[in-house]
This record gives sequence, structure tokens and C-alpha cells, in this order.
Amino acid sequence: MKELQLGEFEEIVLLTVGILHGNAYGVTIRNEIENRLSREVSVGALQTTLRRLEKKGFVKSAHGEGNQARGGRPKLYFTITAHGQKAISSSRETRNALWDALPQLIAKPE
Amino acid sequence: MGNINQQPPHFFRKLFRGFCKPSLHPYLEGDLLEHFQEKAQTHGLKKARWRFAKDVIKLFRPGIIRSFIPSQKLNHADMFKHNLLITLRNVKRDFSSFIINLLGLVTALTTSLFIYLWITDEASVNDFHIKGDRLYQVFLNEPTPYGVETDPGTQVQLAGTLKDEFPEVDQSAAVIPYEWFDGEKFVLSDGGERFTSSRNQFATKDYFQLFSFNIIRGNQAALLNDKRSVVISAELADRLFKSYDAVGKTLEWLHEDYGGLYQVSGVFETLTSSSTQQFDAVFHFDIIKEDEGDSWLEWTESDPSTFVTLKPKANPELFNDKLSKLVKSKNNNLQSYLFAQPFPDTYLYDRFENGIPVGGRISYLKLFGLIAVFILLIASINFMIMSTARASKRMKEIGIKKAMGAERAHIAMQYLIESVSITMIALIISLALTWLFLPQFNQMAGKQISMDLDPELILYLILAAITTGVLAGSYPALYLSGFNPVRALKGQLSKSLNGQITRKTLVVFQFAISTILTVAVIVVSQQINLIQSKDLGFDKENLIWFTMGKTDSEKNGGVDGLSPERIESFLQLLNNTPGVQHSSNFAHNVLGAYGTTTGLSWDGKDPAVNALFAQIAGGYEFIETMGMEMKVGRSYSRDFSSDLDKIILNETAMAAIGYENPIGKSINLWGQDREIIGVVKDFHIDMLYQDIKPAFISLSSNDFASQVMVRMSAGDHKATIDRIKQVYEDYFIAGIPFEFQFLNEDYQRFYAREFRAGVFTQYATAIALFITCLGLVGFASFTLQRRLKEIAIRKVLGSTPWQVLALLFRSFLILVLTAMVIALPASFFISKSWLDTFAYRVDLEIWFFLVAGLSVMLITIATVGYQTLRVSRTNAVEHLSLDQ
Repeated sequence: MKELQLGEFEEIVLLTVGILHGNAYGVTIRNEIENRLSREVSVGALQTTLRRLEKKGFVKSAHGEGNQARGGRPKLYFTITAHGQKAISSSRETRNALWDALPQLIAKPE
Repeated sequence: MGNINQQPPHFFRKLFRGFCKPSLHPYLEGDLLEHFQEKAQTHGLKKARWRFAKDVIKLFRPGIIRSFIPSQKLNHADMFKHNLLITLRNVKRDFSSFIINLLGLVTALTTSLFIYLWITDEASVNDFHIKGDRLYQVFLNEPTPYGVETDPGTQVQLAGTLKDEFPEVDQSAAVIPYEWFDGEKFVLSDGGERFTSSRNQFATKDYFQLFSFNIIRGNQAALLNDKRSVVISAELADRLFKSYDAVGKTLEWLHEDYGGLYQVSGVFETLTSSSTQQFDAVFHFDIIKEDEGDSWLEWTESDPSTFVTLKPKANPELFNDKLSKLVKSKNNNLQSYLFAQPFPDTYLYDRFENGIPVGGRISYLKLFGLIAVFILLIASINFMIMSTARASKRMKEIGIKKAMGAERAHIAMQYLIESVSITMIALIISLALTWLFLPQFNQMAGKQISMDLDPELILYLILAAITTGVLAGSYPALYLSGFNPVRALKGQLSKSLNGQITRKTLVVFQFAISTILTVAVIVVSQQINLIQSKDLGFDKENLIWFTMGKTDSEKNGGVDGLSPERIESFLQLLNNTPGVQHSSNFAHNVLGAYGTTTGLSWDGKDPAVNALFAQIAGGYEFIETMGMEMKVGRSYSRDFSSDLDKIILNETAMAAIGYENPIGKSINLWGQDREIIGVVKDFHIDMLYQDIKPAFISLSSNDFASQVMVRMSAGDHKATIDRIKQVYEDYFIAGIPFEFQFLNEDYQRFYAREFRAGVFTQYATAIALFITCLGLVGFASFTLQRRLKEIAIRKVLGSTPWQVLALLFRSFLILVLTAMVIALPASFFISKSWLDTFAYRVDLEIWFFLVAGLSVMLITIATVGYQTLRVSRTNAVEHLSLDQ
């Protein structure tokens, strides 16, 4: 179970990579998060998280094309792996289980 | 995207390129640029630039930053292991030079460790007082015809005045230390039959607030509140009451002036040698103050030591400034002035010249610290010489490593690891040796140092070992790592003479230091010989002295002293004892401590001159007992009833007064005319640092002179002393301990510092010479190795072994001679400056330097002699085929 655990920001990034499905690279991931969650994301935080996710085997990266706006630098595309999918579903299940338990907890006193 | 030439901030882009990991760099820079372009379109250029900068700065985090250590792919642990392995192999291959290096380093580290222990111990004297940083001792400077004399004795009123009139003074104390009584033995009893001698001092109320003596019984704040209270040491409590719980008990002091019953108000932990103030019991200052009377309060008098603590923010310079004007403001006729020295400094800076502290113990500390550094340096140089000399043997190794891609830094690191690991081994051995020889060292240094391996010391030691290792390894590391790999692989040493010249310079340096130390040994031992054999004007051998005991009537009344009759009859008994030649009572201590007075006047005295005379008070036969000689006239004699108002002067005093035929003339002492009956030949009572002062000997038959000096016949002192002890115990109250001292031992103690310096110098020199010679053996074997072929050719061409020998010796002796040229003048100046501190000193003679130079040279020849001889006698054919 432990290897499936995700931090809060890790979870957001992983979900966003999933949402972008095939078009996930530094710029799009960041824009997506900033637009959806309206919070500012620094390139540094995002990149280190992506590396960490890659190291854990939740995403994998692939070399892509460059363009003029990037000064010709290549893109690095990220896609979610099967292991990564397992991790987000597991995280969702954990939370659901917790949510399910919540009313009982409130009802319990007396 | 029409405005593609909108650029992000150049500096931040560069910065990013500088620190980003190469593997991430293109993608990240792409992302950053794309963001920038987007932002520029939506939010404008300015905002985009700001954001770019912010992003770059936020990228500065682990995971993104690249490693700045070059060739990060090398496995450091493996390289380290490899280097250690190579070190070990080299040790095995060249065991003799390893031993030479190790021996040198062990000796040097052990010596330095001892010197370090000694220095820290000396520096820790008196530093246990909590208020030490604002604790001052006040000294009195007295201008005299012989320069300004500095005296710890200050005015009785000073302590109180400072506290009342100086707002910056926090607390003050006046102390009459035990030394003030010049060796007089005080006897205490428990009120019954248990007697013991004690070092008593007087101090004012706040004494135990200023100084942090450890009070183990009693109330620290109220120790000397009562006039009849006394604070005693744990050891004295044990001697008197067989228990530390002495508070509230009563003790009796048997003394004609201060005698009586006192109540113990506190017990302090027995003092160790880390305190310069040494005493067993502290009595209330008012006891002695009332005994001395009102005249003692005058500003012309100077007796007690005065100590003050300043308030935390007070300025000591301003305080000193005000202090220097104090005496004049109290009595306009006085020329003396006061100054305060930080109390913790009084031990190390205890020599004053013209009223200013100029050093003292601190100079020996610095000197030996320097010697320790030099000895370490000599050992490090050995290491340098040996490693560079063996370079040819390791050339191929270096060549191969370089060819395989090793950088210069790696090879340098390898040599540094080698030298540091050898130093570490040496450190461990020398720690064991230090621990082993500490008792002997303590005996030699007169100390009780214990070696506590606290973390701080261990840290220092490791730092010292690393520094020495790096120092020793630095030059070889630089030299060897600089080889050209191609030439090294071919086996060609660099053609430059650099290596050789550096090696020779280092050898010369070692010999120079050894020679300077050798001269120092000769000069110091000559001066010590002078101290030992100097005709002092009296005979210090066969003399013992002690304080007279108390008689019964005194014990009952407790006030009357020994009457002149009682003293006389005791001396008669002594004189009748077999083995005793002469005996006499006297006052003060014969060495160093004596009274001085300006109260002498005569016809034609220049009133402007503040003539200061030393006063010696002795009984009949004092001059005979001491073995002094009369120049003219006679000494005091019992045959003349009126000798008590006569006077005897020494030669210097006679010269100062200037009478041509002094005998029978009169001179005025303290308002009373006295007839001069004799002139005694000059004698030394000060240390030989000082000129002989004018002095007079007055006759004292009463208990002012309560010490007894006894001259014994040479021979069986023990039997004589046993008989004297018997007379003493029969005459005085039984149970009062008979404690005597040999004057000769006092004299040895007087110069303990000089003798110790002498012994230290001898050891240091022997060690320096030993290490230098070790290095020389290594150096010689290397040089000879390289000249084998040359020697073979010379022999083939007809040189005799003797010619070869001379040739080889010449090359070593040139080095030694160069060292002499540097060292001898340097040692001349160093010796001269040391000797100049003595008023009576040996002259620097040419033979000191000749002997030092010759002995260093002989040692050199003896060291390299065998090797050289062997090489000069080898068969020439064997070495002609060498391909070096």
C-alpha cells in the first residue's frame, strides 16, 4: 500500500497529467492546474514533483518536438502509467471510505 | 507570435543555464520560454519578465540544481579505499622510510602534546574565578633611583576608598597574604592538644565574594562578617577537627600579636595549584589592622594587596586613569602611583619594567609554543624530503594514473591522504606515549597535569594531526602531481633543479633550527651554572631555618611574645648541640623578601634623592651563621652590651653614602643616630636579574626576628637535624610541629622557572636534533642512491675510496655550514636578549657557538657516516650497469 501513497500536490499533478491525456508537458500541466484550481504553480515545484512521480513509476516521459516559442527546445511529454492509475484510484477509494465513515462518526456520541 | 523578439531577462536565463542539471536543461528552458511568451501576450512584457525571474529563482532547489563537484561519476569511497591500499603497499615496499617518517612524527607530536598540556595548564591558573573578566589587582609603582619598582603591597585604606569614591567599582577587598609574613610558621590548635601549622592570611569582608573559592560548609554571603570568625580549608579542618563539618567550632591561634580564639564560619575546598593565592585559613582583616595601629592607615604605608571587581559596563582604562592620580590626591608629597592589572593576567604577566607589565611567564609560554611548532615543522619537512626523494620510485604509478585520466587534483589528494593517515597513526601512538610518560613529565615540570580526553582536546588533536599531515603532504602532493605523464612513463625525472633545491633548502632550515636550539642549550646551562656557583656573598649550603615555637606562658596568656632572654637561651641550647656551628634569629626571608626603607639619613645626603635601603634584621652571630664576610670593622657581638643601637652596612650602601672611613661615624635611622661598626661584603638577596641594592643589617634580639637560621657542619645533616628537633621539642610546647627548610632548597625554588626552562630546552633540543637526523638518514640514503653511478665512474677513473668519501661528506657538510651561517648570528641575538634580562650573566663567548656548530657537524657526520662509508667502498662494477 505504501508505494501507492500520494501527496496532495502529487495527486493534483498526476490527475492533471491524466486529464491532459497525451498533451501533458510542463507548460500545459501548469496552465491546467492554474486555470482549474486558480492557484499559482512554480515551474520548480511542478518539475520536482514530476521527477518524483516518474521515479516512483506513476508517470513516464517521452521526448517531443520543439517549436519557435520554445526557442527550439524539445518538449517532455508525460503520460500516466498503469501503476499511476492504480495509485489515484487507491487514493480515491481511501478518501471515499473515509467520507463514508464520517456520518457514523458524527452520529456516534451519546 | 509576431513579437518573438521579446526576450526574458538575460541574467536569469544565464543563471538558470548555470545551475540546472544538464539532463533537464533543454526541456525546462523550453517550458520557461513558452510560459514567458504566453504570459507576455496575456499579461504584458513586464509581468512576464517578473514571472520568469520568479520561476528561475524557485527552480533553485535540490533535484534541479546540478552537482558542482567535477567528475561526479567517480565513486569516492572506492577511490578512498584505493588510496589507502596504495599507501599500505608503499609502506610495505619502503618500510624503512615509513618508520623514519613515523618515528619523526610520533616524537614531534608527543613533544607538542606535552608542551600543549603544559601551556594550557599554565594558562588555566587563576581562571576559575567567576568574576575573572572584571576582577583587577591594584599594584603600587614606586619611583626609586634604580627605576620604578612595582609592588603588590598597597595602602590599607585603598580598598575602602575605591569602593566609596569610585562609582565603577563593584566590590573591593584588602588582603594581607601569607607571603607577607616571609615564611613565618603559624601554629593553630583545636583548643586542646592538637597543634598544626597553617598558612594564615587576613582579608576584608567581601573577599569570598570577589574570588570564587569553593565554599563547602557555611554561608558564602556571611563568611567574614564577624571579627573573630575564620574560614579554613577542608584540609586544615580535617587536620584540626578530623571532619569537614567544622562550622561553629573554635580554634586557637598561638601568636603574640594575633593570638586567641576564633570561631570557624566556613570551610573552603583545599586550594589546588591552579590558584596563585595559597593559604589554609583566612582571618578578619580588622585583627591585623587593630594590632598595627593608626599609623598603618597612612597613605605612606603600603602593605595589603588590593583587589576590586568593576561593574559590568565599566571602562577599565578610565578606571586606571583615575587610579593613577589617587595617591597624589591623598598625599601631595608622595610620588608613587597605582595601577590595576586584570587579575587573571597577574600570573602570566608577572614581570614589570618601569611600572609596566612586560611579560614574565608568558614569554616562556610563547617560547615553548614556538619550539613545539618548529619541532612539528621539522618532522613535516622530513616527510616532504622523503616523499619527494622517493619520487623516482613512484613516477610510473603517477604516469599510468595520469594516462588513465586521473586529474592533478586526484593525485594530490592521494598524497594528502597518505600523509594524513600516517599522521593519524602517529597521533594514536603519541597519545599512548604521552599518557605513559605523563608522570615523568609532571615531575619535571612541577605540575599535576592529568590528561582528560575531553571532546575539545580530541577535536584539537585531530585538527593538529590533519594540519600537520596536510602541511607535510602539501609539497609532495604539488610536486609529484605536476609530473608530465609522458616523461614520467619514460622514467625521466623533470630536469629542473627545483626539487633538489627545495629539498636542500628544507634540510638547511632544519639544521638552522637545530643549531639555534643547541646554542640555546649551551647558553642556558652556562647561565644556570652561574646561578648555581655564583658567589652570593654568603654560603647557602648547610643552612636550615625554621620559626621558633611558642612557650607555655604564652599559651596561657596568649599575648606576650618570646622575650629576648628566652630567645637567647634557646640559641645557646642550639649552639651547644653537636653538629651546629652557628645559629641566629632573624626576621623576614633571606631570599627575595625583605623590608625596604627610605628612613636613613646622613651628613651630606642629597635630599632630592629618594634613597631606598634594604633592611635585614638579624640577631648576634647572624653574619657568621650566613657565612658573610666583613670588609672592615666588626660584626655584632654579645661582648658589647650596647650593640642594639649600632648599624652594619653593605659595600653598596657604603658607596651610596660616600664616607671614606665609615667605622665609628654615625648615621641616622628613623630619627635615631647609630654608630657604624662594620661594613659587610656585598651579598645577593634579590634574584640575579637585579643589581645588588644598598642594604644594612640591624641587630634584633627580640621576637621581631622570630625565625632561626642554623649553620650545620657539613656531613651528616640528618643526625644534626634530629638533635635540633629534640632541642626544639623540649624547649617549646610539645606538639607544635618542627618544620624546617634548607636554604639551598629555597634557592633552587627561587630559580625554579629558569631551571625548568633549562631542562625543557635540553629535551626540546635533543628531540629536534633526533628528528633532524632521522630526516638526514633518509635524505642521505636517497642522495647516495642517485650518485652510485657517478661514484662508480669516478672509481673506474682512479679515485680512491678516501677521495670519494671526502666528496660525499662535502656535499652534506655544505648544507650544514649554510645552516650555521644563518643560525649562528640568529642565535647570538636570541641568546643576548635572554641574557640581558639578568643583571649578573655569563658573557657570550665564541666557544659557545663553536661548540654548538661543531657538535651539530659531528652529529651529521656520525649520522651519514656509515652510509657514506659503505657507498664509497662499493665495487664500482656493480653500479656501472645501473640504468638510472
